Amino acid sequence: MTLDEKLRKPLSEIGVTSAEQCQSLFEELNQRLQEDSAAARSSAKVEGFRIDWLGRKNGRLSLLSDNWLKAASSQLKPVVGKLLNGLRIEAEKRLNELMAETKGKIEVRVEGNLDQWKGEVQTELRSVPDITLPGLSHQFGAKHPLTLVREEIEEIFISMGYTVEEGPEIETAYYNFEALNTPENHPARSEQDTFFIRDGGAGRDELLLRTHTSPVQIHTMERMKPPVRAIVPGKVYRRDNPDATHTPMFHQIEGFAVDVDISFCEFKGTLEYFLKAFFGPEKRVRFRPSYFPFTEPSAEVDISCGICGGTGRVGQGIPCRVCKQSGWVEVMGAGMIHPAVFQYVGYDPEEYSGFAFGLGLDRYTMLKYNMPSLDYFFNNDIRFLEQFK
Amino acid sequence: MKISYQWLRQFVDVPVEARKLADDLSMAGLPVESIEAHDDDFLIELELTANRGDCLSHWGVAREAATIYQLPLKAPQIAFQETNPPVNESATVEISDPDLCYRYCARVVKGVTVAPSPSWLVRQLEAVGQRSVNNIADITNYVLFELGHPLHAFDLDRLTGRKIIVRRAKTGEHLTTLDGVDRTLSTENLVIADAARPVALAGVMGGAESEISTLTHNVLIESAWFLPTSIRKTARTFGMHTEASHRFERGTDIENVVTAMNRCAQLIQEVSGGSIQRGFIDCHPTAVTPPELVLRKAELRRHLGIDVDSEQVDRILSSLCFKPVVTQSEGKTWHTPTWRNDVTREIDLIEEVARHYGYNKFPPRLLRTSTLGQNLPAAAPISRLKEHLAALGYFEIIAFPFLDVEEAARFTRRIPVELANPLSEVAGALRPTALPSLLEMVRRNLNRGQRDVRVYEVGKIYFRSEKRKVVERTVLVLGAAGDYRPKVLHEPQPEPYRFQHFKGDVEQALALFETPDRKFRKPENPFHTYRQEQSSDVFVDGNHVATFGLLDAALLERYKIRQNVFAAEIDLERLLARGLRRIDFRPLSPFPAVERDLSFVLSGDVSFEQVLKTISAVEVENSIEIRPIDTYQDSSLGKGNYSLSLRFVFQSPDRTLVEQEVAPQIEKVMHALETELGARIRKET
Ligand SMILES: [Zn+2]
Repeated sequence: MTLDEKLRKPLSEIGVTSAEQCQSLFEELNQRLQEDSAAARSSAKVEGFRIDWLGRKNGRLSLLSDNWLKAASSQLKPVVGKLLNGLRIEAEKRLNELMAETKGKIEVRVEGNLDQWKGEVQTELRSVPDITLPGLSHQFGAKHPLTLVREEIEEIFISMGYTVEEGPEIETAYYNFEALNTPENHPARSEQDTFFIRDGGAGRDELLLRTHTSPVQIHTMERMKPPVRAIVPGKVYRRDNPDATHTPMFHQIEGFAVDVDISFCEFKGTLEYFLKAFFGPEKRVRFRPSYFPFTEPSAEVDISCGICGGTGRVGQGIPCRVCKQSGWVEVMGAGMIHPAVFQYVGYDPEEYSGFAFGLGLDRYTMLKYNMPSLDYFFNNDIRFLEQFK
Repeated sequence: MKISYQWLRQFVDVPVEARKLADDLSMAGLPVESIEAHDDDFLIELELTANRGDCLSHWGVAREAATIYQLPLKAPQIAFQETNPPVNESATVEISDPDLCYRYCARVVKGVTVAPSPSWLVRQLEAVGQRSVNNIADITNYVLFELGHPLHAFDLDRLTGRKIIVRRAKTGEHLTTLDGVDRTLSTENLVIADAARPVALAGVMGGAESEISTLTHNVLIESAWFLPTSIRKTARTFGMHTEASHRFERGTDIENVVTAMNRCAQLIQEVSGGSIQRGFIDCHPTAVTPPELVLRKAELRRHLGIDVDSEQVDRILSSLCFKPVVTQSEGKTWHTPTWRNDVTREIDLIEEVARHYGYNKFPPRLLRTSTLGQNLPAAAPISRLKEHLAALGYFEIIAFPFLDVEEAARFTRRIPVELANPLSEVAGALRPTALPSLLEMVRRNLNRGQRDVRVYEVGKIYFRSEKRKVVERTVLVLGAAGDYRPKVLHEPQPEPYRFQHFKGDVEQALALFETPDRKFRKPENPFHTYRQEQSSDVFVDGNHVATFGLLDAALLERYKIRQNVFAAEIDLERLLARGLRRIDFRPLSPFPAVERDLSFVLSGDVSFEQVLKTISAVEVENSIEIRPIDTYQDSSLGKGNYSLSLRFVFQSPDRTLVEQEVAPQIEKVMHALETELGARIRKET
């Protein structure tokens, strides 16, 4: 049995029962200590020496304390304790010498525990720390930035009385198009190239990957009676080849509210409140007329560009690339819910009105962190992800 | 579509400079993509929404500008000399399918001289992005950009029988279109035919054989109204998109048919000479009746939230050429102009008012009533899980769900949901397992030189049930490679990931949920995904909730990963259904705890789970914790045996425990282990 194997067993198991036997074992150890310290001629080897002998976990002195001292019979315990202490002082002395030789003046102070047989022998080594060196830190991971921004947006809306809803990614043509007032052969259908499911049926039941989160408007309204206020975060799919601003999968957050007293003014007020809460109270918000089959009146919503402050120019008159010099950044498609949609879900359009909006979570995240391209999100490079710790 | 500022000014005296005009158009619902200076002109690129086919011309945009600036519109002067004999002696028109072609008008111009266009025409077309062809073709194009109605000019002498028949194509008929492509037609396609064969793909593109050439003397001008869905289908079938199809798909103005034709005849005569035959052919089998819509004041207020002044409402609608029909106390009834096929309901009128009133003049208000906000039930547990995983050093990833069908079959028996039109074959299905995309992300990170990779994804998998129904299920996958504890400053000894480390991560994720009785079992591993001896299935109440372990070397080799990777697949929906672990408060005892360690030797086939089970069967009193503190194997223990040390912590809520109380408990345990499991007790401390 080697010396190191012996260190892993109680003294009784290696046949040591007398003080004399202890003495000779420790002499053997001391000899080894001297050999090791003589061989440690580089700072790496000094570190190895420290770990071998004084390492907290598996250093020989720790093992010795754990396996020999603790399990020693009552008459051997003081003997072992004393010998152990002597060996430890010797090891620390050697280490100090070695460190001084290789590294210059670094003092190793001993925090020994002299009444060793009462408790555990502590082998705490503490060099005087360089307080400017970084400390040891645990490796943390992080949520994906899209998750962080989604949660932030959810919180704003929840605080405004919205529920969060969800729906399937594999949808039928009925929910994705028809019930959203987009019948077959409607021009709006080809603008969003759709992934279809093989053997996915035909007509209004044809299966496809939803091209927007709007179908969940229909599912939710079918399930609930007004008042309804909800947002729907989720993945959506369009058959685009990937580039800096397109990916075949991306994330939307849909929102809508239906009640008896919602007009264009409440629509504007709600979205302004949200946009200022998210992008900052200094942002200006504007609404431009637009077109979506499932809203009427429809609007595109812009905020003043955060890069150029809405001037269209940065620095010395350089055209702002983020807003293409317009001073405005498009952040949302929205509108008052089309009465035809209410008819599909069985709400009386003469009684209820409401608004709906859809925003690109990926785009919001790009704007928030001033990112130039979508690729980052789905490349999942840890060097990127760890920026969001 | 490009709009020339100067051209526009022919129809309305725009009182502002081009950039201001561009802004004003945008704010009225005609989005401007860009504006550029061009000679002494400005070109405004409009990105019109699909509903505004009526604005796909200078005339159409001028109508909006006239409304914005409250100015009159100046129509182009259309006047020309006609010559006998009447047109119907030169050509005949017949509509066989009046469901697809509501109106077909034609004029004939004889004795034209086909030549290059005059420079004003070339420049005007080039400004809006059109290449000059010859004077006749250019004029049809010019009128398209001027008035918005697509026209076609045929070489009259090349039309067999000088006859136009508008009909569905016959299956298998052929037509070589102007772009030189021979197209095989079907009954889905509406064509313009002569007495013998198709000569044009209606509303999309003319045919090569009847094309205007320098030999052309007599021209037939076609101006027609085609059903949008029919044109759309044909254009889609052939993958064609032309200026004509773009407009027909969006719906054209059935009254503009005549105006545009006349304008075209006039300009042909002016530019290329010839004589316009008297009269025109007007086949109009199907009428289009624009709706009359009531705009109630109360509805306007309900939708817009304010009272818009009635005079202003009238001015906006009148300027857009809506005509008041009846006035009642509740509101006016309006006749919709023929070109506004997007206006079919009261709400559409309300939008017209809103956009010209100015969206930004409406005061923003918040909802007056309050409702209760609430996230999805799964949101809080998932968020906690993600925070937990971050604390364990894991980064969240988000992957595309597309996967090769064959690759999917290497991981699972689940039937994948395939795409009918994938972007590529290797992305042909939706993933029935989230492991391949996770591995791909691990590989990419390792390739980028990342040494330690810890990633997870909470995402969906997709598959077909036995009844072929499409199922979506939320899963959690984890992956770890490299060092558990990397070599860093102050810690020079790295510690590579081992099974125990990874199991710890998985257990911590599982322990967040109500999973009190987790059973670890050798996995079935039918696809050799994992290395058998270093992997495990996890069951809770008999239900499978996870599989994890060291990935199989051959699998990793296939992903070109040459180092150990641990992975876990966790059925998150099952965990979510169980809910977050309930926290049961336990009062803290003021009395000291007593620790006792017990070491014993066991045969290799006895598991820790059995040990625990044996101990829990004997009811150890006052024991608040039992935990394994050491295990090792050694030849001295006997072949196949191993040593296990347990630490027992005893504590009483109402007194200090004495040795006499603890010792019998340990005795009980020792006895049970010896008799039940054949343990050999080594020491007790
Ligand atoms: Zn800017």
